[in-house]
Amino acid sequence: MRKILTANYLLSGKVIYLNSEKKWIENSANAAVFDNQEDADNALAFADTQINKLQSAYLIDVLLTSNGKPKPKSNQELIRATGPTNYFHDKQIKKN
Amino acid sequence: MYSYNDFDKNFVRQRVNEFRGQVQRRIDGVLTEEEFLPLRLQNGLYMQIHSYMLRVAIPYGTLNSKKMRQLALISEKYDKGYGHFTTRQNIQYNWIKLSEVADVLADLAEVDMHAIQTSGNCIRNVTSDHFAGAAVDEIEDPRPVAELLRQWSTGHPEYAFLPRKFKIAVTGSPHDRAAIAFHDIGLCAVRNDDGEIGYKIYIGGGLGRMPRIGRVLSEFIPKTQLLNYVDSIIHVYNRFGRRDNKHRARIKILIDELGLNEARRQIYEHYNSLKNESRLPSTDIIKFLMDEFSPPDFSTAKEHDLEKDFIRSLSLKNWAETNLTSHRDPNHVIVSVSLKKPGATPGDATAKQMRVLADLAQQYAYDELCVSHEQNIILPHVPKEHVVKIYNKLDEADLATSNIGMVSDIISCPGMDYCKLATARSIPIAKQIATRFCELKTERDIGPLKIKISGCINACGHHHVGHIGILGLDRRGVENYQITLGGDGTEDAHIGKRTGPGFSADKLMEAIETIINVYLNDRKDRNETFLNFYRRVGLSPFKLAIYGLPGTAYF
Ligand code: SF4
Repeated sequence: MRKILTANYLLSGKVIYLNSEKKWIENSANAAVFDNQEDADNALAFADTQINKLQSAYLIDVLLTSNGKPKPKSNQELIRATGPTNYFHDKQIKKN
Repeated sequence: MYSYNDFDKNFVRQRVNEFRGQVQRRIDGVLTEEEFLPLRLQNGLYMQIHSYMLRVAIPYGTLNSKKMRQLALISEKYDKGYGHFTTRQNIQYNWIKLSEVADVLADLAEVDMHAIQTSGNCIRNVTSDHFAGAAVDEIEDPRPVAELLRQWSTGHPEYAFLPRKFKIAVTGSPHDRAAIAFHDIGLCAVRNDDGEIGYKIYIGGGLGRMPRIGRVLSEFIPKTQLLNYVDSIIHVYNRFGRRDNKHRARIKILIDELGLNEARRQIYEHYNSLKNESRLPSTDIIKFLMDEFSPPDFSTAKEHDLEKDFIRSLSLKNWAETNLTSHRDPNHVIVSVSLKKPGATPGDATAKQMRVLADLAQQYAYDELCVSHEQNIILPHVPKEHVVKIYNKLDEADLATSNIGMVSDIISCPGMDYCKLATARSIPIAKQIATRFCELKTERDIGPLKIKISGCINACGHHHVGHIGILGLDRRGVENYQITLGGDGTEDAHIGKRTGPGFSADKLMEAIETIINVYLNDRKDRNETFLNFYRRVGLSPFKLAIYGLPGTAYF
């Protein structure tokens, strides 16, 4: 298995991912990749402690790109990670 | 146009305050997300794939300049400077923040607008003909009845938790521009033998997973009896509609299961028991609402020969050919403003464009606008003498696309670019098709042709009733598009037939072009529209052209 943890910020609604330092970041490529159930469950449990900050949190399947970065597997999560394909919004311009 | 009275204003303001408190309790952690979910949905706030989305109700699509300006302001203050007009005549904002949503609703309340009942299993925004009050063939303006139903259904305690959402559409014309046969209840103005105006009632229509054409429940219901009649239908649905299976919960399935006759019997049983109740709207209330929608004084407009304007400008003439419709007053026309510039996102308008539309309505068109379910904006009453000025202002604002009813005037739902339920994207497909036919310069030759695209089986893009319908699906992780042909959302209602296996995104354009070429090559003459051609020849020649001979593999 290969999964990353994603959520939306409660207040802004922004799409975010958990990195290996337990910080929420906007770039899915820098998210922490969990390759076993225990780590994935721990990440979810961490998200549960933050319900006042998060709208929701869930795990998604990822592939690894040639440079070892996670990339969401499903089309929906890919668009969610990179922004809508009809406009060039701040997500596509900004890097973090 | 109906103006809110103090009761309405207070009601909407109280709802804003109530929701502000609920949002705060969620932020403070008093409410969990699970507890908050139904509360935010009751106020039109969804969580989509990128962000919160707020769906704002525009009853029967009608707006004035003040409301349109406020919609523009909201898009700048709280969103990314644009809004998306939907196939339900509403507007959606895609990038709303929870921390600001109560302020958005307060700003809406300032102009007598809200987002109540734009989600959830309740009676949703009542939709209507976008040419209401202006159409040549209109028996009466359907909006007083739509408004009556809106007032009755807003906050109706008995119908806040129906088995599933419930959609009502009303038209005042025999030519159905509001797709009433594809709503849970459709109402169409008719005259009885005594010349009295009442409504013909359709029930059980709908799109989605199991599309159905609505069936006639009654040929004539007098206006004073309408509420009781609609109430009886929903009463029976509320009691017996299925709550065990979301996909079988709409009234169309109840009608399937009961049969129309038994459904009618049950509805009439309730209806007859209500007949003498005092909650019937009195003729006074109906007259009051009719007065609220009384037409502007058309007699002030001068006679004007548009043909003379057309001689001076070919682009104006081209635009007029597709975007002007005859008005019931000979000195006026109906102007349809296209939000479908090839390459743009169907239904989107920037704040600047919304303001231009508001200005035009206020200056030249009796301060009235209407959102069409085809995701365009209508100026219903335009004195002919102002058409040139309006065209020039629209042109400056990039709003003078002349394609109403043509191949590039595509209905498209947001699809996977925004919508959580989507199985594929629809906006890029719409953009691609519109751009392609614009490049080919064949649009005028093709003539009237409605393409409608949905990003999943829920069919918000009305693909079932597109002359060419496109449904985006997921085929093992790859976007795949099914084509249907021959759908029709008008009084001649038809559900489109599937051509066969779907196409990948890169093969879809070729298939659409092939379909249109079959029509162009084999039509009798230019007067035979795509839809009439399809009705004459059926699916076979199209299938043969896009899949090859039976037995030859396409993929
Ligand atoms: S048709 Fe499907 S994808 Fe499109 S808006 Fe409706 S639910 Fe979303």
